Amino acid sequence: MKTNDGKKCFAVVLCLGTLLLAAMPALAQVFGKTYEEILDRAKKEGELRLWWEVPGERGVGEQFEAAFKKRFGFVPRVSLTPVTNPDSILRFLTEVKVGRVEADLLYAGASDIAGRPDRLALFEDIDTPLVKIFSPKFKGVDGILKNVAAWKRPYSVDVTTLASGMIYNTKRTTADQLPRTYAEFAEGKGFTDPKWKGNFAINTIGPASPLADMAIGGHWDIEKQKKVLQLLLANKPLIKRSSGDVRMAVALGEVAAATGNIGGTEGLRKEGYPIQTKLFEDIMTVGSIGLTIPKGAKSPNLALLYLAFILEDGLPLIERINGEGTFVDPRSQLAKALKTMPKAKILEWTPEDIVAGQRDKTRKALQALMP
Amino acid sequence: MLFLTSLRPPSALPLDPGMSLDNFDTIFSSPRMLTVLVNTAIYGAGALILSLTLGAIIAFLVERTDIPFRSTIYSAMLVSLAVPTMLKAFGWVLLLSPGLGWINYLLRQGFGLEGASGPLNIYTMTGMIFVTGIGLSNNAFLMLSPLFRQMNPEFEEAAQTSGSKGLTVLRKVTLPLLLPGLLSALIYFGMVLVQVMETALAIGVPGGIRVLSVHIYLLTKAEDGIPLYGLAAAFGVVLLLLALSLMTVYFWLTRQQDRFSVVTGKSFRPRQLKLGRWKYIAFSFVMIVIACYAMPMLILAWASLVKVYQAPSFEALSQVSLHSYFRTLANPQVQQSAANTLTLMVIAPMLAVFIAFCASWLSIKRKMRWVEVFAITPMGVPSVVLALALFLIYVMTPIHGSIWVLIIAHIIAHLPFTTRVLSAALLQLHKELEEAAHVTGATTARTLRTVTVPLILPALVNGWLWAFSATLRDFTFAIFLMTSRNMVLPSAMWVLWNVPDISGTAALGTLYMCGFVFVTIAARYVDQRQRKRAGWEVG
Repeated sequence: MKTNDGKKCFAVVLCLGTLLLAAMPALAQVFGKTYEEILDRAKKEGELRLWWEVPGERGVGEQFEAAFKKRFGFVPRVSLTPVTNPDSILRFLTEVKVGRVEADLLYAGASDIAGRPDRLALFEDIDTPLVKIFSPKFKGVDGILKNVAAWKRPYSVDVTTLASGMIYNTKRTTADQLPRTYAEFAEGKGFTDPKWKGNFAINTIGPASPLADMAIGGHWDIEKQKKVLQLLLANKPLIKRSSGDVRMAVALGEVAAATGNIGGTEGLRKEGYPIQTKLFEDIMTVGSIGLTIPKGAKSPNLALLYLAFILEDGLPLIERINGEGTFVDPRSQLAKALKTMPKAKILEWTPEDIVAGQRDKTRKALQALMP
Repeated sequence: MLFLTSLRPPSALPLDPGMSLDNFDTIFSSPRMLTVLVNTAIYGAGALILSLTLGAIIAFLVERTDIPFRSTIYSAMLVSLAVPTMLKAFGWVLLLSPGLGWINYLLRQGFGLEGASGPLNIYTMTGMIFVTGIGLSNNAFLMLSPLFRQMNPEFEEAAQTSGSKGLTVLRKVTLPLLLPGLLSALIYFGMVLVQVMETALAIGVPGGIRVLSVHIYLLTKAEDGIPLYGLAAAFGVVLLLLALSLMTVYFWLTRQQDRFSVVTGKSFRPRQLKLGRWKYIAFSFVMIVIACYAMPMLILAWASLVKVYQAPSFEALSQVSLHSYFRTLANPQVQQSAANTLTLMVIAPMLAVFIAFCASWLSIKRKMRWVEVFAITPMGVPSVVLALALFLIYVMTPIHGSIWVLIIAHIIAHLPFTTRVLSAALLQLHKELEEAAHVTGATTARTLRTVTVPLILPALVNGWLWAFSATLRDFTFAIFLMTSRNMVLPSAMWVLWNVPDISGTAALGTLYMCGFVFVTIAARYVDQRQRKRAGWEVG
């Protein structure tokens, strides 16, 4: 009896092992092995479930459709859920917990994924096919991949940069009148100078971006951050709820200038608003949001093809329409502007800092000082 | 789900394991909590007094007096309900911001004032109270007008016949009879004011005034990083306890409900109070209030007509075009959302009113007060927490991502208001009306259909209109529960607002208003037909 049970057990293990071995190549081959195979599979997959708000803005989606057809010869059916970061990652992670994967291509902050093995395990390695298959074929893809930080790879590629700087209304002030460095603020100059009293804006969620991120890598200590915030607040800024509202306040002329995320400013300028940006010469804090492909996506090849399309053709299109450039794209105005400021230090939170709670601690300490 | 979420450790995801009281600790141990509570009390009390006073006065004038253009006033009172609060607050900023406001510009020009800003400043506590109070007064009007309409004037006439003067009648007869309705409104708006934050964010934050809802929102949100919804849920738990306490007080005060029945088996013909020469003063007052509703909407309409916003002027007229409207209507997201919005708008308000009617009727006429408590419980839950709870519940079911999850969300969210409106109206119906129907052999269903529903139709119409407008202007559920399959117009508007596409958002907001005007007129037509049938004079 014992011998029979042992044999049965052995047979079951053998069968399972054989099945697992047979399944492994299939598991490994979520994406086609060649460009042609990916293209072929993508056409068959048909529908892409995309979680990203940008294609819904200012006709970006329609331009994407035309450019995609020109590049690949077919038009995929894109089901767009214009969910914004960071709600997208919260929703996605919760859905995954109950066994649902509703996205093929997901817009999410890499910093909310990296550093957490349990979350990383939910995403496909997109770096390997992008590097091996798409980089040799598409210069834009290649250029971007070279600039994506190692800790974001292989799961995420940046498509949005939240870059800090100054925004100003060209009818109310000029670039020359604006501060040059952020360090001046600590000395009672720049927006902490009484001549700017009541005539500049900051956002409260940041708060006062880039101030909250000046702690990155120990660049400023918390006391210095607090001191600058107090100086800024004493100069009666107009405090807006988000960087979007800050942009709007400057565009409409409610105040002459502001500090904050400069993304989206160019779009307003192209619409005709008298608005411009200026970068600090000493510092630029950045936050990146990328696109990722979740494991269990129904259309992984279409998602990969679409991602490659976004990197090659999409990002320049977005910059042309919305004016939003991506820091990692060497073709973008943002990347070119940074080259003209060799002394500028780029600060970005690392996953280690975030997991250790450093980012939240700094923000909480500054938020406590906000009115 | 609310309690469970509130007990999650601060950095945990909703379905993560672990329990902690840290979220409650964060709320109560905040060093500036006292200032925040004082600000909240001043803001809440100020806006409550302003909204209820304006709502009650105008409801009285429209329903019980011979003020001219009553039907037009009624419709005008409701039109601004369709516009999302965030857009209305933006409209006020365009009017009264010290540096940008058009009214300030006109005042400076008109009075030759020096300087490039002021004299008025919207970013103050007074500004917040004014904008919120005005914004909620039409909600109060909706809640209170059926109470005035159903009041049997015989009670007041009896008091006058026995020699009581106007103010005495008001103090000793009218106000006590309105007590349940007024209490309902007071409790409802009190709770609403503690948790609303759009105006406080748009106007209070720039002015350095922080109230409780904004305080929690700012602790919860960051520009990147996962939002701390556990904290928002803990806030919801505190609000819920407050709401339940207030409801207990309400039930205690209205425990002898027959005292408040003003519609009895004896027929009555509501008589209008003749205002005489006061008619024009009252009319002017109402016009000023309506102008306050209209101004932010008109400036938004102006913003929708110019590609790049500039203050209204004769020179700017050359820039006017319908370009934003064509562009917005050609947007595939807007088009795609329209069909879903139609489904949502047809089903959600209707079901909300139906369920609210059942809950109110069971509570008032069958003494099952717990049903009403259950129906109004969502009042204490911030909509973002309710959205999260619904997401967590339905993510495990096939309806997740469908339009039905939005329908359910709106029904739950609108039950408190509609239940309050209908309970107040049902309290005014004496039990002898239904008893008489039963004596003649009518079933309960027939009694409801032929007696109860026709008598409270004004309240049903108002409840439906409010639920309709609230569904139309909601952003929270539309965004939080959004998928490609259930996108609705508010989600499309949110995308435009975030771009930011100022003229496109304003165009969509203006189209909302126009659509709501038609719906209000249609609802008013139904209401008037019923009133004519019942022998009311129609203005």
